[in-house]
Amino acid sequence: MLNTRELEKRWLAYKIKSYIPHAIIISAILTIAIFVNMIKEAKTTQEKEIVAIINATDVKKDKIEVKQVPEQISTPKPEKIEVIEEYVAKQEQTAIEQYEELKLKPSLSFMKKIQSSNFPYYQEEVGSKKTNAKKTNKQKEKTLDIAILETPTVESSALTKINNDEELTDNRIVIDRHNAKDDINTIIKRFKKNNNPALSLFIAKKYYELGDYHNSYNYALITNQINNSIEDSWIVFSKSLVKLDKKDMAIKTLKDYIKDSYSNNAKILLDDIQSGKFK
Amino acid sequence: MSSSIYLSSKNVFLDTVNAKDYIQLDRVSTIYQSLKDSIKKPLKMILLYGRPGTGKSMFLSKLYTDLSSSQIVHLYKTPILDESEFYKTLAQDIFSIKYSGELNFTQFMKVVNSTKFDSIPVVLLDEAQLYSDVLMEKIRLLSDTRTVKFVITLHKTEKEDLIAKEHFQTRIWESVELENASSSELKMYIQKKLMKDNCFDSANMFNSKNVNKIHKLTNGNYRDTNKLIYTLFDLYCTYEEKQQLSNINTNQISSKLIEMAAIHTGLINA
Repeated sequence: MLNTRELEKRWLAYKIKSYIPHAIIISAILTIAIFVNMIKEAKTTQEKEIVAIINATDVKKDKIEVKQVPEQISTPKPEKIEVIEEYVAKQEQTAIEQYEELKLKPSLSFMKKIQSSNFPYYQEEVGSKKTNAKKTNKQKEKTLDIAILETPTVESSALTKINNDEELTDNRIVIDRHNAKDDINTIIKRFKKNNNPALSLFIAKKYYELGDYHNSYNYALITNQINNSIEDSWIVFSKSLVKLDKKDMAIKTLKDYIKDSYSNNAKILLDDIQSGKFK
Repeated sequence: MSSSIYLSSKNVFLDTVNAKDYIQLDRVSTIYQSLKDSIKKPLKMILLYGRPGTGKSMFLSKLYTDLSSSQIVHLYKTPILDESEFYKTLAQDIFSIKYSGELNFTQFMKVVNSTKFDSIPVVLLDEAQLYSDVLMEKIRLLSDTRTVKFVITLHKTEKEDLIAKEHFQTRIWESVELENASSSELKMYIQKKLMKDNCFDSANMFNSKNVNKIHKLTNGNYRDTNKLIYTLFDLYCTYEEKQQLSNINTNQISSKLIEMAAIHTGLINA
């Protein structure tokens, strides 16, 4: 007869012994799994924090951008021109349709158009200054009239009767104007961030419009330093010099620029300065 | 299940070499048949080799039983290590010549050469690895006379392989290797063995899972398997005697008892 009790004891010891490696392996796997999980959790929390930080900064950016939106909208000139041009185009079409039978005569007013489109600041010396206000309004009206009249040289008495103001109100084109100084400040901030010559030129033009010729000179100079091939920048620079009683320097600058660029607008401005038309 | 079944099942696995206990398995049967066929061929020697417990002795025993009715065959289960005694035994068994004094190789060769048989007598030598190299060389010379045919069994070890190579390489016409059983063969072996002794219930207790466990422990070695299952049924008998069998599943062989039997037989070092 076998000693079953003794054998059972030995069997139990054997079983425990045989389970030890399994237990070690399982516990090791569990430990590793827990460790990996902890690392993952730590990573995810870190990522969440980073995302939160990014989101927070994004919100701030959005806020800044929201602030900047009106600035972008507040760049009135191009929009105004576009609207006017659209309007003018409509008017032209209707005028052409109505007066198809009318004879067309050559007009030399395109010279004025060139001046008005390529050289807006020459005519649009609009500013917040009270002294220039009336003059500017008149120039605006002129610009509109010219735009209408200069189109495909349709000469008609009826066409001239078109009341621009009425039409504008009929179409409900509303152009908001913003405080130019605030605009300049925000654009200066933007320019400081990205150093974009388009912005510095815009600032120079704005200062010129506001009659701050010293700043317009400075920003035109900065623009030229960033990119010396922008015609408008040279023109604003020269005009600012004239306004700062440095006519000779302006003439010299324009001459030097014309030498390199053969710019027609620069030539026209040079002629105007030299002849005393532009003071 | 009656109590006698465990006892009878236990006795089935007593480690004895008896031809009547030989179990026909497909692979083993094929080997046996090829061995039997080799006897009929004009071979000088046949080598049967394999690891201990692969059934070499059982093979020889079965071969002896099968051949003894048709031809002169002598089985020597234990080696006759004394040379003179070896010749004298052979002279008496094969040639019916009894020597009282010493008989040397030369005298025995004279006897061998002077006698002719219609069918060559077969001498089956088990555990041939125990014979000395000198005696093995003389056995080789005896086989060269073609008067006596030898079938010898060897344990397959490196040393014994060397013996096989060096002494018999040129003379052996047939060598048969016996291997351990596979798991399915082992299951068949156990069940056939039990059923042969009408232990059908205990045969049904063995399923593939149990047999796989046994195979894992014994590595398919027949001797170890016999030993393990003998102890296993011994455990069943013990529990039965102690009336503790209710705690054990009797529908199938308990894994716990297999492991306990393995611990007892030394197959598990616990």
